[in-house]
Amino acid sequence: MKWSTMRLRDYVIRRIFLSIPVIIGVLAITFVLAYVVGNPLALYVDERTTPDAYAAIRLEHGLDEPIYVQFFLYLRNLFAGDWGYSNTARMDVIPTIQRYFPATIELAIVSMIIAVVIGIPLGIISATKKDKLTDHVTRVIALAGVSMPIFWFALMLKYLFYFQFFMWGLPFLPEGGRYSFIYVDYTPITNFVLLDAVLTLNGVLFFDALIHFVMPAMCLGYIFLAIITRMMRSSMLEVLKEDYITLARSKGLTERVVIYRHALRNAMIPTVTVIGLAFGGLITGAVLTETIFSWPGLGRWAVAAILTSDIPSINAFTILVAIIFVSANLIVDLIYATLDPRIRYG
Amino acid sequence: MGELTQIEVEIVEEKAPQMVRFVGIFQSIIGLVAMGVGVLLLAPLVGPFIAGEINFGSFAGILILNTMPMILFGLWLFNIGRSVYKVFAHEFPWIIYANIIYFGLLVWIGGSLPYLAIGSLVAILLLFTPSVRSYWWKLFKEDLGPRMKELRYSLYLIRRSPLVVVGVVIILGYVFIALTVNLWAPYGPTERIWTETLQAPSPTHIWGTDQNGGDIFSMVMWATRIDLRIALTVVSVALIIGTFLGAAAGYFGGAVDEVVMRITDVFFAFPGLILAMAIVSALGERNLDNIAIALMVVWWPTYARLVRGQVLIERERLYVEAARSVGASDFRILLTHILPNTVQPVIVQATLDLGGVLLTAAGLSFIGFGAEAGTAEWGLMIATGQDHFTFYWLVFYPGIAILLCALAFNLVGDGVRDILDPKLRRR
Repeated sequence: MKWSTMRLRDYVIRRIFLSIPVIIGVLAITFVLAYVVGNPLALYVDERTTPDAYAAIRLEHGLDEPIYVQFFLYLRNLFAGDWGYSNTARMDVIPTIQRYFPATIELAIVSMIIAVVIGIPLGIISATKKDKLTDHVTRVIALAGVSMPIFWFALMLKYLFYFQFFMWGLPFLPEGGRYSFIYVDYTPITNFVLLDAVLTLNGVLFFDALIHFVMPAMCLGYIFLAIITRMMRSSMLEVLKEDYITLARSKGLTERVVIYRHALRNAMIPTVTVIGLAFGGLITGAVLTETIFSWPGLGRWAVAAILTSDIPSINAFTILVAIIFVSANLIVDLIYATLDPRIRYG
Repeated sequence: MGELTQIEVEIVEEKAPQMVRFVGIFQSIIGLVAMGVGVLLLAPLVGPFIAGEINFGSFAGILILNTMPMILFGLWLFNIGRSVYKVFAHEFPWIIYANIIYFGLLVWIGGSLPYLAIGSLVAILLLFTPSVRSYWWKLFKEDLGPRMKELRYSLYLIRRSPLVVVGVVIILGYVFIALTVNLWAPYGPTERIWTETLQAPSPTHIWGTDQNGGDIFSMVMWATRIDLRIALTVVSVALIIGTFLGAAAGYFGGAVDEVVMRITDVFFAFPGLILAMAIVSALGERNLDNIAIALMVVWWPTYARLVRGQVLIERERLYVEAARSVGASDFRILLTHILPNTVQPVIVQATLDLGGVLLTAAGLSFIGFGAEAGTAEWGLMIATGQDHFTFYWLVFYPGIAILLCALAFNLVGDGVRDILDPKLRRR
């Protein structure tokens, strides 16, 4: 027992150390993209700058130094907390992130909950009723989710629930935003709207925010529901073929016990991994959905930044997403190792 | 080697007539021409690029999309030609495969290059002149026998799974549309009828018109060309780069492996779309070539890892040991023995990725990185339709086109993966 916990601790430490070079690589890539491939001069130049002034600007911002010196300066600034000024948000990058980050995370978590709560049972049902009608329907739903352009789905939802419902005189969903700032009084505490509503016991705000969540979360959740359902189905089918399931059945256990007690536990392992990996995908999806539903999150900020070539914002966003993604993978690997002892001895 | 023993083969090779050598020389010349074409495509851009008149993006675009493939294929063709000159009977069929690819490449790049492709057709024809054919045909057929049997069995399984058939039919439909759209599309890709803006679907404009009076139906049809082309280019280039690096990493191991795998680790630290966004914004100019380049940079690590894993498995097999003991070079073992055996999972992944690349490219061009406004391209059409989303047909039809296409690739990829899975085969 003691020995196995030792091995787990070693595995955790080794895995954490392995992600350090990855993060350094991420920083290097963002540096190369912004300062070697891209044109860093664009940041300090506007229409009125004469070409004669370029040399002075280069000198002033250290752009004529050798590449490795620039990279060193870049790293020093990052670690010193000087991430630059975001032209898009009209304030420094770090407070910008603090302001937009909760909106994105909140959306991602709500969508993830929807996807997991519906996706896992759907996958189980699909696997247990293989090649029946329910299975075919589920598979088509899941496959459509994987092949669907998320921005198109978002626009279609918006057309139906906002515009068409309005035309039909039905109660329609809000077009976008996190809450109706015209009707509801709200001063952010944590910037998580739902959490703030619970903290201040503000029922009106809570339900208002919930209604605003419906379309973006449905849209984002559907894509991940599809991924989770597919993974759950295939891993369940794989597990149901194992000998120990046959044994459990031949002992005379009911199908229910066999599936939920014996099979589910092993079938969940690959699904957990996919859920972790899908978190990176959720952020990708958020970039596309947020622009459509005017959701004041990181994604919308990043898109605006890229369209105006706002280098500090783009870099900050890319680094942040990479760090989130790497840590999500790390956490998944650690959960995986705890769930399945075979991994850490491999 | 079946009925034909090693001695017989040697006898055949000894008596090789001048015609066989000629095919080898001809093939080598085609290879040199290919390399020359590759250099010529880039040459006019080198000066302006150094002078700073054209940006990095368009230079890299020509380099990656046109020059590198031409030079690599030229090298390959030249090597085959050299081997054929030495009368290695098993190299002959490669002339056919290679020339078909070379032909496709020239037509793909377009311009006046397709005329050069006549050379590759002649090379194939030369192979089938009776005196040359007798040197390789029998071997080829024997070699092909088991493969054909396997292929026929796969086709049988494919025909039995309706979803794959549906996928293949949809893909063929898209390809057909892309190839023939100029013959029957009611309007041109950039044609606008200024008097008929935002018209609802009607018999004259069956899918309606957009805010500038462009016919949605025609634009969606024309866009198949652009979008399929992007998906194919990205996946094929990513596949070539990834296979090359992954195979090297897996086969040689050690430092090469470590370096390549650490690089892929870093690339895997980004979600695909985010990295592509950062690359496109660094490249500066916004056009479809830059989207393609960004997606290639994002996608190659997938193939590198996949191929590396496969090569690691195959490397330990007995047939590799056998090839090595006969004295085959590393390059030869890797290219003609190991890589053909890793092709199946790569093809499945490539099919699935065609759908993925299509979706990501559409997403990028939706954000606003794609072609200039007004181009018939699905993602861009949805992006412009976004401002008029109450007119549903602006958004609905291009989206359906993307959905169906990605769905078809996913159906085929999934189905073929199940079919090729040795665990499920031959039960």
